Amino acid sequence: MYKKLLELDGSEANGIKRISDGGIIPFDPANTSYQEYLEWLAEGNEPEAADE
Amino acid sequence: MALLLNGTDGVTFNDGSEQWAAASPYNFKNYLINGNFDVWQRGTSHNITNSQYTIDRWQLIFDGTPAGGGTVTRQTFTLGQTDVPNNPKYYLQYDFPSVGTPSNYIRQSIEGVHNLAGKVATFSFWAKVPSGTMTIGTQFQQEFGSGGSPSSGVYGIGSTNFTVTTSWQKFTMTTTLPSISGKTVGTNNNDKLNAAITFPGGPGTIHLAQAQVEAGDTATPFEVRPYDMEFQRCIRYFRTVGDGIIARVSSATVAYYSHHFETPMRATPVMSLAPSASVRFGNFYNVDHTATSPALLLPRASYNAVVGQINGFTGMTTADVLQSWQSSPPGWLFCDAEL
Repeated sequence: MYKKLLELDGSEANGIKRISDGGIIPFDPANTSYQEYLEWLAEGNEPEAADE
Repeated sequence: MALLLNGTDGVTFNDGSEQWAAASPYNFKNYLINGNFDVWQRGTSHNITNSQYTIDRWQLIFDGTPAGGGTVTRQTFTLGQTDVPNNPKYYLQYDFPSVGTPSNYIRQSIEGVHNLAGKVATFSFWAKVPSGTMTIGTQFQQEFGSGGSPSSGVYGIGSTNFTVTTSWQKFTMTTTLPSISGKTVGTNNNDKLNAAITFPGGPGTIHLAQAQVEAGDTATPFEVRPYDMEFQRCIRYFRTVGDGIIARVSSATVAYYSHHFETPMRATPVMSLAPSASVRFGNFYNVDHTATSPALLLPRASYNAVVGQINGFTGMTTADVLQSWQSSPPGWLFCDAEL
């Protein structure tokens, strides 16, 4: 469902990739897709690890 | 001749409808954006397999399991037709299969649950079906957003059923929206008032045109706004970016791009590539590169700009500065900040 992203320095990016359409979801509380991601996390799910 | 607007009697139009001077302004009386179904930035034909936006500002809700994908398409009115007034160019056609649960509807979310709260409001639209009849419903929904401890949403407000036939008809629902006094709005700036049209379990096909939500107890004539103005309002929630932007090449396969939004978006957008995007960068003199299977890397966005990398190219020269042009589609980057 979701995949982590890394910055160039290897740190975690301030966003998450939605695998279904490749969309990059920002960690902005006002973003509806981010709220859906938080609900998905709250259900006990975990995003896939980022590509190295 | 003077015209007196005393706030009580309003103005009676030549079709017999009355507009309340005090309750409803004469400009921007329609709380809906793209109520004329003119703006289709995501494309004019969509397969529906889950809840999603198709036409700008309108979201299809599939809470059930469709037996097969539905479709939403833009249809064109016959030039000069008079069944639906004001010469609209387009209407929406929704073909839907059997749906596993009753939740099968289209809605528009009006930003801010405070809109029309505690007031009389009227939701009107035109509809027909290609054959037979169809029972549809309308309702308002007040949602208080997320973050903190928002109040629970209020659904089914003014819920009314209509029978749609093979002739275009204007349908009207008038109700008083609940007051929000004593309610709590979430802290994430995503509270909203929804205007919804609900459909039966299917299968079915319906045509929709000229939707309007306004203050007062009367469906006044549809407010036709200029296309450019309506488009400008749409891009607060969704826009495409692509051809015309400049990128700097960082490797043989990757370019950095940036773009500033003159009209800010509602929130930081989700960034994604248009379906089947083919992105072209070059200087149109002696450099020309096309990525037929591009991907976004490290995109960064805010409410007023996007910056990011795109890969999938081959043989580019580091530090070249190139322009995007003649890509497919021209707006290859989708920025989505819908409610």
